[in-house]
Amino acid sequence: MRYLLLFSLFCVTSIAFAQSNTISGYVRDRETGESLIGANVFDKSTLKGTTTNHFGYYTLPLSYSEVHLVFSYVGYLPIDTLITLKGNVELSIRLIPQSMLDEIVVTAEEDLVDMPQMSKIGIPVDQIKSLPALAGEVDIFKALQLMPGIQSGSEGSSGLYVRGGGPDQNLILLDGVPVYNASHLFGFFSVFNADAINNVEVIKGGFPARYGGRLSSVIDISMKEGNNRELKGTGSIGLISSKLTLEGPLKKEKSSFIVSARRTYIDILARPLIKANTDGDETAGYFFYDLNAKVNYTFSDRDRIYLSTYTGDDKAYARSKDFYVSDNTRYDYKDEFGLKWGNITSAFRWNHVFSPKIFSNVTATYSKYQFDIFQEYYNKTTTPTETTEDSGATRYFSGIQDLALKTDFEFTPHVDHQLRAGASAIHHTFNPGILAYTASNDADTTLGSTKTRGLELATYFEDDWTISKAIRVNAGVHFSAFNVNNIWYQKVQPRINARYLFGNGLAIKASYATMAQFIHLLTNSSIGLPTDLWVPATKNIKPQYSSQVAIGVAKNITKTYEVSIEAYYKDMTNLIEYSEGASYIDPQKDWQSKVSTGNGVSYGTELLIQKKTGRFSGWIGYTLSRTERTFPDLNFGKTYPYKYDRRHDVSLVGIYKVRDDFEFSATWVYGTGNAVSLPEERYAGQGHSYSTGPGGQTYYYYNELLDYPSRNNYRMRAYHRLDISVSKTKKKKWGQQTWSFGAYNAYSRSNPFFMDIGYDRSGNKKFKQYSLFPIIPSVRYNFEF
Amino acid sequence: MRYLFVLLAVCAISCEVVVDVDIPIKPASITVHSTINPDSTFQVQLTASQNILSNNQFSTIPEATVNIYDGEILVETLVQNSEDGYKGTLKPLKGHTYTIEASKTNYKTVTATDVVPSQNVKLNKVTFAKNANDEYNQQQYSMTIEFDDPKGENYYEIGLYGPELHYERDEDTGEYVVVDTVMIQYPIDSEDGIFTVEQYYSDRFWSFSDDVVDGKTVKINFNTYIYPFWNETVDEVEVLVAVREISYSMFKYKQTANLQRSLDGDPFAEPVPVYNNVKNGYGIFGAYQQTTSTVTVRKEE
Repeated sequence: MRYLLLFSLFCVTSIAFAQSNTISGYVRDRETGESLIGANVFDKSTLKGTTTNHFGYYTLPLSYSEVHLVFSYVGYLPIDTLITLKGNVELSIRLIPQSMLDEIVVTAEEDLVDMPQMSKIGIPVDQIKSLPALAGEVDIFKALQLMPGIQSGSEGSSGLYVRGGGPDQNLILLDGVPVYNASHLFGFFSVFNADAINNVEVIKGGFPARYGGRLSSVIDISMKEGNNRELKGTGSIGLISSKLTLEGPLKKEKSSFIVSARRTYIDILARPLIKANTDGDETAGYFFYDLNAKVNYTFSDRDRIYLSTYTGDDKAYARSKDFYVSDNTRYDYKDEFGLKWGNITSAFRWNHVFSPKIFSNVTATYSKYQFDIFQEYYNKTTTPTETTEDSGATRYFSGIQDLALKTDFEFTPHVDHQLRAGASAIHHTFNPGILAYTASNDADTTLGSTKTRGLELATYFEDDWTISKAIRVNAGVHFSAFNVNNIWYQKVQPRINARYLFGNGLAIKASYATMAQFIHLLTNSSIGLPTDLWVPATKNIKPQYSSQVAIGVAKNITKTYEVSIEAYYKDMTNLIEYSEGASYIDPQKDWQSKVSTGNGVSYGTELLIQKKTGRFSGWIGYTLSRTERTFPDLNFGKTYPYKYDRRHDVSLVGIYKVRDDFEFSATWVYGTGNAVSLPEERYAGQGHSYSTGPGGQTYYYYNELLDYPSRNNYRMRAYHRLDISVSKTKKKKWGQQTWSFGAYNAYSRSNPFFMDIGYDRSGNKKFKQYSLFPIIPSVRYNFEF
Repeated sequence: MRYLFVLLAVCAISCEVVVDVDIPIKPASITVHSTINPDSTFQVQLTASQNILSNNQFSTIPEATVNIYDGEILVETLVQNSEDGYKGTLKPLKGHTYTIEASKTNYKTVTATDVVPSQNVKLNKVTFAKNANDEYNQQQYSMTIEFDDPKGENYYEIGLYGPELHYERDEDTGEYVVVDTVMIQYPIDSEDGIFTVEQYYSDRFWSFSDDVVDGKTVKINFNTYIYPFWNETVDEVEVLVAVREISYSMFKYKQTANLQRSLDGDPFAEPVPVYNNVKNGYGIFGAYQQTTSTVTVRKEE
């Protein structure tokens, strides 16, 4: 704490002398009024600049009277303006989107080379929408998996494994609210509807001090605010789902809204077929839906509020009913089995500009994730004289619920310093697996872990400091504490990103970050099942900690290409895994008795060559990495490769805009096969004997045991896949329509999903690999009005 | 959970591919199975391991040389008795450390060592009481056992023996009459949290560690069936409760083997490696010390 105070004092004194005028304001889209996040604001005279924050706000204190400002953002026409400063100036700018122009504009977001932040990735949402998608369903997470350092888990899964971390180590924020389970359809799709999203940003390392609570990544997703000029709509009809988004002003230039909904309809299409084949006695289905909604109101140039919410559910169900008559007695029965899971998140945010140099945001959030398996039955017996009924239900549910309040301040006292500070409090309620029985002829029973509450507090201080033209540093400290069952855990987490800029557009960067995570995800499968349990650190299960160091170079080539190479080393402590053979749904035992704790290490090198603008855009990503785990109670204490240890991971992404109304895109991915534990030998277990009788033959039966020399000792076959997509847009009187055709796994590669031992056609025992998706063609109709 | 696996497996079955995995072809190794105790002479079963893709049955290894050492001293060479394995004439002694050495041409010589536990477990109390009927309307009994655990790391297993009545049909009366009674092991079942892993159905001894009851009185409830009570004319039955202190090796082997079997057929679960104290081979050379108590159970108890 003493160091924190000294550091703060140093920063404040070093900038106190500065007397300057400040230019501040918002950068927005001219057509929709949507905030542009991360837009560049650059003074050509002094070569000083800044970027807009998550609300599109910027502050630029300058000590010169004549300034030549350039506002730019990817996909928009830049604006040059000359201003004479005679005091503070408020200047809000509306940039013209490229789609309004006849020519292609080449410009960029905040310069990769200029910013000190390492390991940060931003993919424009429009680019994500142009990529080929599984079943035509645009998925933000699947687009992120194409970036170096971010891996998918199993085939089709939208889970993210960032630099050797698990899926629980990603802080997924939707308008500042944590989303605990970001999966639909057992992980094949993420919950984020791209039509409602404005901006996506991922940080894999060198975390700024303002972020905390997870070890491996921050995925910061901002919803659109809604068009504040006119009512607009977009929608699409696809093979498995349809969606519709409406946005418009509630009060022109003051208030706007956006509502976006999506639903799958496999269940509706299949229901008549199932009923027809079962005489109407049975039905089964699966669907998911999600709904995003947001409103905002601008009270003045200084005050604006936002209210946003997301709700989404998945449900799989099977119902049956039937009856039979025997001996003058009629027996009716019906039962239903199902599982459902879903998130609800809500955020209320208030932006307040205290002065041109001080911007604040207060956020109150609610987040809930619940998973529920249920089985219900009802039986009725009717005789000529009486009727008896009996019914019952079994439920297994788990979940997590958060209430949070946080406040953030941005203070820009000098063009070379951008200070940030803030604090947050999160109240967690954990339900780590409860089994409940109810029956009409018995007392209700509840088994399993008890509800646990935890309080997570955090505060941070951060300075983005341009020390000289060549050296820029983002340094800070994040302090967090967690209380559970009257036990306190706390951790001071220093963070630093530094950049040294050479004259030829080449920058060298380095970063160090320690992170603490007070919650764990207990998972025993590779497929991102919703049954995974969120649990808190406890007296026995300590919080997870990590420290990561990274070094890299970044270079812009001809203003069109960005090239970056980064090397990282990350160690993680107090990770948890189910103990070998533990059953996740055993309500007799508390989850703590079923887990083992251990450590992990991950290191590697990532290459990214990216072209964000022009008719042809895309990127090449390559990761060379190694990830290991060491758990004293697993694999007899020996270090073993992490299941998703992937030596080589390659992504090639290309989007070619042939004409303004015709676009072609393709992605190709390659990855070393996932690690898998395979047995090498079989041997007899304990023997049992039995005899045909006194003096008869005695037979021996041996249980078979398998010898696994080591955990994850083999590799499945390498994974590779080509996806392609073409889209054709046509202007209509009412707006425009786009037809998209695509193919997932275009050359139908049988990629491994899991392996097992089976038999070939000759009856020989063989290893078998099971795959999920052959080539999957898709078609989607999109419209805008 | 299984429903989800089935769902995914169904999706996957249409896309299954036989793949060649570069599994090393190793020569067969000797698998040892021997759990020694002071009440029985040395006895060992030897079988040969096989490649994972072999379909063959396990067969015993004949004409092997099996030596037993007490510390460093060779005390006995076991003789092949039958398919049952190799037997000796000596009984192990409590607290002694024994090593088995088995060799046979074309196999690597295997060795394993274990110590016979020396504690005499003294049962404080064993009681039986009538329990609720099970889901098939069969009468269940609860068995409660209580004994003191000494300080230190100890491992136990518990089993129950009782009579099984053999019947034959009387040709004259047409009724079934009891012609023989043999002692068998009754199945027992417990929901006590001291049992940390699923117990395998064919091994009716339930094993546990004293981690959470170290130095305290151990009290465990089981459910069981007293089979002779299914005969209406039987009102009381004598049963034998066995409590064994088992060695660490035997405990670990049984726990991990049970775990591996319990996950059979679940391709998504992390497989469990089985504990092995046999150098150059597989299996278990374990030891235990057994205490028994005879109890009379009355039908209406």
